[in-house]
Amino acid sequence: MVDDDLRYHDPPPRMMRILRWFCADIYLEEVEGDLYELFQEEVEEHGLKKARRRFFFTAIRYLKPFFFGKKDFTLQLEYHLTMLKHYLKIAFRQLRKQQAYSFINISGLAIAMACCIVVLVFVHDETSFDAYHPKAEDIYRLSIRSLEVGDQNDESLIAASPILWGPALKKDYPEVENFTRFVPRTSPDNPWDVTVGDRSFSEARILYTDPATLDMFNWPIINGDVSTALSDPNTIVITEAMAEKYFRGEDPIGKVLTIDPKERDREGNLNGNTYEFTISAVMANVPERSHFRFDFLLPSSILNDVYGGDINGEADINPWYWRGLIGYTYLELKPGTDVDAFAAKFEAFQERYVGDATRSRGYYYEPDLQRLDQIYLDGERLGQMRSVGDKTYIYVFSLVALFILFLACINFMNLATARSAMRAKEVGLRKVVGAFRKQLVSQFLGESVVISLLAFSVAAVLAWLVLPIFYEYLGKELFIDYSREAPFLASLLILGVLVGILAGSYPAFFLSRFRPALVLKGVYGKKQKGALLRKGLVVFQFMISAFFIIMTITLFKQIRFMRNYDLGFDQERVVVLPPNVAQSLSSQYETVRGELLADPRFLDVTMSSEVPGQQGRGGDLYVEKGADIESSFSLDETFVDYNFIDLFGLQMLAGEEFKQRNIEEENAEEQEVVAILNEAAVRQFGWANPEEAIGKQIVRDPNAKDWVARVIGVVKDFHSESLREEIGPKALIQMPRYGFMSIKLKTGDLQGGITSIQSTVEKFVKDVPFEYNFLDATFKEQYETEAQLSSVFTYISILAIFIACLGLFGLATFTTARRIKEVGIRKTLGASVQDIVILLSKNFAFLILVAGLVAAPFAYLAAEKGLQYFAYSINNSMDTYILAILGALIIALITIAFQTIRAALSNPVESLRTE
Amino acid sequence: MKKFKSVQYKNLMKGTHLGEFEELILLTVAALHGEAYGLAIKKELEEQSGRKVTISAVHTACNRLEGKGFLTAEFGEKSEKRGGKRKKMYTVSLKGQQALMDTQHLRQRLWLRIPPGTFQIEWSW
Repeated sequence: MVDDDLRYHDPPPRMMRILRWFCADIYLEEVEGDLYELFQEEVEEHGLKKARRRFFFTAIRYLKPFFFGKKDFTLQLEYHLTMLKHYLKIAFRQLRKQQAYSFINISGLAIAMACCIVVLVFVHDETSFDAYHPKAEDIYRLSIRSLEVGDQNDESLIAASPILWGPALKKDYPEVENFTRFVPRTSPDNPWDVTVGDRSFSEARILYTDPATLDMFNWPIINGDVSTALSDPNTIVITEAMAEKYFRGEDPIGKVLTIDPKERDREGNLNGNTYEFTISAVMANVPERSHFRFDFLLPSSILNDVYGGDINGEADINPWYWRGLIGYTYLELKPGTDVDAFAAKFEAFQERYVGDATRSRGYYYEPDLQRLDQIYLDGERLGQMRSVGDKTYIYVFSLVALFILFLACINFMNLATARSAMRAKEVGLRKVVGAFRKQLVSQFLGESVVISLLAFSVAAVLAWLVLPIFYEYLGKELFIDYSREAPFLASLLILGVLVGILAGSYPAFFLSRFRPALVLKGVYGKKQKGALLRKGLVVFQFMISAFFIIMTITLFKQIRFMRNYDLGFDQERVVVLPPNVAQSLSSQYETVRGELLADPRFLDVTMSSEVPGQQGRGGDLYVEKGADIESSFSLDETFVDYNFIDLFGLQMLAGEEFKQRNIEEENAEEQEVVAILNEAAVRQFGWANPEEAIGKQIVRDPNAKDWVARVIGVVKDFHSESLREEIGPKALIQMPRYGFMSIKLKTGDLQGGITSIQSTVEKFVKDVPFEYNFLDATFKEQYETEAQLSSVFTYISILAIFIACLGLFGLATFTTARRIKEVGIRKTLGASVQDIVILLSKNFAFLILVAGLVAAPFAYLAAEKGLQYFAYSINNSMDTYILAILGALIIALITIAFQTIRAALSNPVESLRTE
Repeated sequence: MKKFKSVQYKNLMKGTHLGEFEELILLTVAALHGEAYGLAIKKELEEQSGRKVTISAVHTACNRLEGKGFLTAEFGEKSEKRGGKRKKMYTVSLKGQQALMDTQHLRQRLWLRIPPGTFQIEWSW
């Protein structure tokens, strides 16, 4: 037996902890006591070491269901419920008692949370594209990167690929489980007419596809036969929406639909051929969150006739289809295929099938295998079925939302700690009565969670109101299926709780730390420890606000700069007819021109393949005649009529302008090709000055030897693209390959001019709707993204400054309340109201200035980086920063004015009486 | 919370059946006469039966018997020797006494029904 004066040995503490955690309360005292006693005896008998080991085996036997946590729930629950009720009551009393604070807290948090919810919905929306296909992780789109020979940096990303690759890949590589293709032959500019009975619409979303499509993608057929849906060439699959549009509830299966593909004969006139298709199946609408966009699926076998060959590459077909990028190919790879290794095989593949057909033309292809569910965010490519998302937006918006939320949390902490003095007595009393620190912490955390949840419900309503506006703003369709998104929407609630815990944690620990004895004596405020921190937080908030204000102003200035920049050509009063109108006019160009010029309102009319700000097709490789072929480079060519330079007011530097040619000459095959270059092109060819360029011969497409052009003049550089781009080498070539018609108006009577143009044009083209734009307006539209960004920045700045002001207001209320006695004494000693206001505002003004000064360098760097994006940009000048900081200062002073002025006007008798 | 009182393990096991080990525990508690708590029961039982008894088995059985109403328990004084914990002292309740008696009577009745000479060994108490 153990001697009483012996020192007792503690059993292994870790085991005891496990035991305490595991065992129900009702057993614990007995078990713990007996084990303790037993351990003492074991130590006596076997020594400490062995006793510990034996203890382990003894204790481990308690880890069985019998002893497990059967704590007395009802009692505990009752206790907890009582406390919870009490805490909630206190929380709501606090909210009611301090309405100003509650308003600041809740509205600040609510606004920030609303931002977060909006952004989360947006991010969720953007990242869940195409995820609904069960095979989404095995299906890849074969997209093409087209690179220029000799210049690897000159690459174009294209969503399409040659249509013959799919079948050949499946034949050659076992990794390819299946493939399917989609070939569009319509576009928004070139819709087809679809007719059922008396209902006829223009449709631009018609795709040819392989039968495998319905196996690979999760597009359920809701009516009709899946197995034969796309195999018979005279059938068509339509979506549910189209079934409704054309049949209004009738059963469309087996009905006939007529398509007019607006085929033209060799002269360019409509031949009026139509084709009939039997509807074989109706498929569910393609979900909104998909990069696919189509309404009709036609069997790909029709293309055999259209392309005059076997589109599976087994029989003869024009070898151009091995390299022409006219359709989309989707490959289903065997699960677990190494995609990079598979992509590496494409070099040999192209060697086999394409040969040097591409390289000899100056470009070559590399494959980009884009996983189905990643296509939407994988960046912009030429020829996408729809506009895709942009990861940058996701990052930027998330970052901003987090920032704003962070700011609001800071406010929350700031306010809570600032008014801690008011709750110090409560904390002291609770501690005296026996509250543990843990309980106090959970009380205050709970309170902040309550506030945060209140804010969350306000935020949810706000977000619900703002979301449609936000989406309209982004130019996207808002599509939330509330029933399907329920788990996601519910998970947003986590945000509410999390914010409450995060924002409440610091004040909770701060408050619960008070020492009851000191606090109850009234000593809690002497040189508050948190003061520096609180000031720091306010500085930080204003720093961020100042940063955004600076960025906003910079962006505004840059946009104004770009809009007013001298582009080097005359953009006033020029009406442009886009290709869909103008192309039909080009065959009767001279007649149209003559007719238009008969109207005194028009100064001149010209046609060209491009007009500044409205890119048509790019250029081709050029090299100086006789020079090394390696030195060829891509020259942006515009085909123009003789008066192009005159109409657009380009400035000649050397040589002569184009001369008017008569029509007979133009038809002559051996017509000499003449070109006028810009300065950039002259530099690129390596000629010392514009004069030297005159008379030089340049060769287009050195491999194909399309033609040799003689340089007859040089124009001053002009901006045919947005100011984001550096002016590239450019050639104007006199040749009738026109896309646009430009008409220069003499008078300011724009509307009359347009009407006159329209009536003239409609005399010549009948089946095309009249469209036009103004050169200057369209050119400025290129800055739409910047304008959008700047308004986004404006909103962010307003939000940031609003939240910062809320925080400042709270802090000012607190500080002035604490100095009210000082103010009273000063006033009795003769201080004026101004003196007091200045005294109270001084500190805050200092804080805001510090914030501005700290923010300035960051903003400077960010602005520098942002401005680099523009080839032609404003200087990052000082006045922006001064303006922004002054702005923030003024807003801040107005915010606190209410508090300071009220304090200054207060009657000293009131404030000093209680002493 | 554990500070309030030890709450009875409520009527979750209503049966009155006594297992062999439970019977031994009941008897030991009775034998210890007011000195019966977990560790003491374990030692007494080991001493008398000569076999190893784990403390967790004793605790399980005691609490189960308490739940069935065969044992009543109250907490004794705190002691340093027990790490500041109280002893849980067991006594056999009336119901427990009844159950022990019942078992004993049953045995006795059965013994009496065994005809003399059935066993090859002499029986002795």
